[in-house]
Amino acid sequence: MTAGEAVVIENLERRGRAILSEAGITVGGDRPWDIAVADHRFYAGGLSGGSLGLGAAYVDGWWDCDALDQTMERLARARICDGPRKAHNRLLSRLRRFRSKPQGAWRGATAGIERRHGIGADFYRAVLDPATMGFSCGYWRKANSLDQAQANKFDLVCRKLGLQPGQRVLEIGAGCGGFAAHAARHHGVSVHGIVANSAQLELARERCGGLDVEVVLGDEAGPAGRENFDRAVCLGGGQHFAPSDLTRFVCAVHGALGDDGLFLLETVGSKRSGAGADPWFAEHVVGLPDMRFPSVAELGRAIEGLFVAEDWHNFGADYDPTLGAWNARLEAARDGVLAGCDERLYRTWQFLLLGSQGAFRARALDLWQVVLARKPVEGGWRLVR
Amino acid sequence: MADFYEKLVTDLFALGDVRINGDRPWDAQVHDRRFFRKALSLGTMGLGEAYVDGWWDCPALEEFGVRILNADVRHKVPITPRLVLGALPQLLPNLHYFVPGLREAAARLGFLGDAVERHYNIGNDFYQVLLDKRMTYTCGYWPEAETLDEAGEAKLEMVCCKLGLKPGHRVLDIGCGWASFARYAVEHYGVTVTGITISEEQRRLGTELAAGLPIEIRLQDYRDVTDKGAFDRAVSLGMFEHVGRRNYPAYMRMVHDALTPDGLFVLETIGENVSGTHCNPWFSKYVFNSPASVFPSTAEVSRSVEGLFAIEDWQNFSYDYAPTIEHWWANVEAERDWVLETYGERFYRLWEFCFKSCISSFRGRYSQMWQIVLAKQPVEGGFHPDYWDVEPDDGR
Repeated sequence: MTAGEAVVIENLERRGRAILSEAGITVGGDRPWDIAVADHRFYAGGLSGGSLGLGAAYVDGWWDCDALDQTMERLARARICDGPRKAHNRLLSRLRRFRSKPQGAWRGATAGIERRHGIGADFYRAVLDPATMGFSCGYWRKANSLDQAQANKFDLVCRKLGLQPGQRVLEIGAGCGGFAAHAARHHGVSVHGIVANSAQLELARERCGGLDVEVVLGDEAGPAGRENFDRAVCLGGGQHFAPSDLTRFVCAVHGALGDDGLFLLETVGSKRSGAGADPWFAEHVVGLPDMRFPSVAELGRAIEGLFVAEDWHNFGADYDPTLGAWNARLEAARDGVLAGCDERLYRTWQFLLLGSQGAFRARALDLWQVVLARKPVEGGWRLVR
Repeated sequence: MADFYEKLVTDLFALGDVRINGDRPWDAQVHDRRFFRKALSLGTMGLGEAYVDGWWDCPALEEFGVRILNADVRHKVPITPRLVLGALPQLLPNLHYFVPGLREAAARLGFLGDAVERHYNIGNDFYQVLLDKRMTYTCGYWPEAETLDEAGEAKLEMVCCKLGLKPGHRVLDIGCGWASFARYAVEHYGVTVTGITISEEQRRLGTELAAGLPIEIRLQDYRDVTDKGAFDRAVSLGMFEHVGRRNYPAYMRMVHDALTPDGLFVLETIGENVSGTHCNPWFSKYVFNSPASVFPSTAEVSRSVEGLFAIEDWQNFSYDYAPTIEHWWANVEAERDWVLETYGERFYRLWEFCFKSCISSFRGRYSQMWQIVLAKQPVEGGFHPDYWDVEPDDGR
């Protein structure tokens, strides 16, 4: 190392420590949220690219800490990750839009986090609770365990949609079939579920065996020839869209519903329009750099002329215990199911779960459950919480 | 000439299964043939003016309205040269009500002279007849209410719960009306309230009704509120409709600045299904006469709070406005003789048409009624007001 390089590194390190101290994080400190830096490239790469850098650096093992969720919560509260993303990143994302192909109305909704990192059956079995295999935010009101919270969430969705026996329900992004099985078993509805990949297909079919549930692999066409569904559900799919695709998606669901159709859309939301999604999550986990967590204004705009919103329910804070419980299962599985798992892959999952947990605890992200009516419910839709 | 208009109106009404001089309650009873041309020339404004003039009647006016709205009649009028030429004499003098933005521009340039909202000054004694005992001039909450008084109080209670009021809280009430929320909150939650209104009539009667309570009612425009960080909570029930799109940022900034860092704000407003609408011409000519008055869309409200407030909850209970207004008008009908004697027949028919057309719009779900909870800082651990622990009756 030349003397010049040493000066540059020293400057970067000083600046990095200053940024971190704004969030109350000390390098080499001994509080759970303090971090240890193993590789000085962290200061150059890790802190300059928002969470894109932080996540990649974590996966590479350039830095570590005892309580990643607390570190990320502090960074979210201090808005550290918002900073570098501003002007030049926004420009980059606009340029990218020119070369990106539209995702297609249905693909975006079902494209889960499995895109890049081969998250498959192992991950679902290790992380999700075996009782429901729910892969979206739980509802922790009156729940004190993960499976209870997931069951409560499914029940909440069913109550909001007022499911009646015999109704036909379209589920976009049916994951491991948790909701489809719940709705078919407890409410006597017939579910047509679209999943993202063959791992989900297998798990969902296994879960829904013997029930009035049909699970198919998602494609561009959507449920072709199948229309006039009574209800549509999308749990955690709304955040996987580039802005223009969100409208196309809502439009496609509108077309698949009958006249009195209700659509429950659950999505992670951001507090500002045009904010994009967390860059690390978009780039490395979902593999859709254009995706964004929509703001209420963007969602509101996307449904205009198609649906009337009967209700907007925000329970983003409930993602904190949900992600915490998933991570606890992930850690427990490390010596079991995931024993042979690649270290980098493990750290990716860890950063995904704990990084998001910190952001939700800081309330930097929202979780919206929106009830949309094709034709407003006559006599009114009654508040369900 | 008359035949042309009459035939057209008959055909258009038939789309919603409404007949001219039919015998069902929602059929239109036309007494004066000028009705047809007026209705075609001015739409709702024509129907309303003709109703006030007594040119037509309809026993179930609100049902008539729902049918016309559901059939989307206004978009099915065949725009022919003959119709346009025939409409011009009536349309031209009212053009500023029909061209979006024209009245706002005219008001800014000073052409309209007196452009403040007069709606709330039409007569306190009329509002005392119209409204419930607390004089709540906003939507009631009906799931468990039997009477208008109960529905009004249930709504006020819901607002207090969402605000999480604690004794000693200082509350700003923007557009306080006759102090109905202020009195309820003070009586039940031990808070102090500062209410602002630009209606002298409201301030006078409101102050009288709130005598002896820790309530201050100011005759003040929201733009003139300069208190910084002086309030723990803020509430605005049915006033945002008069703010106008251009002023949303200033309005939100004022509320933001007036609140303490952990302040909560409950905003209640009528809403539209799409962005960029302008107020119904009839409504802006006779009811909400301020040129700024307009109903916002979800996107417009939420965009205006970005960077200032986190949106914690967004409840739509527009279906409750129909029974609320039905009860209001039933109150007036019960005092029909007094109203006719005091205010005259035209006044009575004007408000009859106004309230019944509003019932149509809410019953048909063309207008929404939103209660939005906004937090200056997102609530730690999430927003969970107490009343959510009361289980609503099974599903819908």
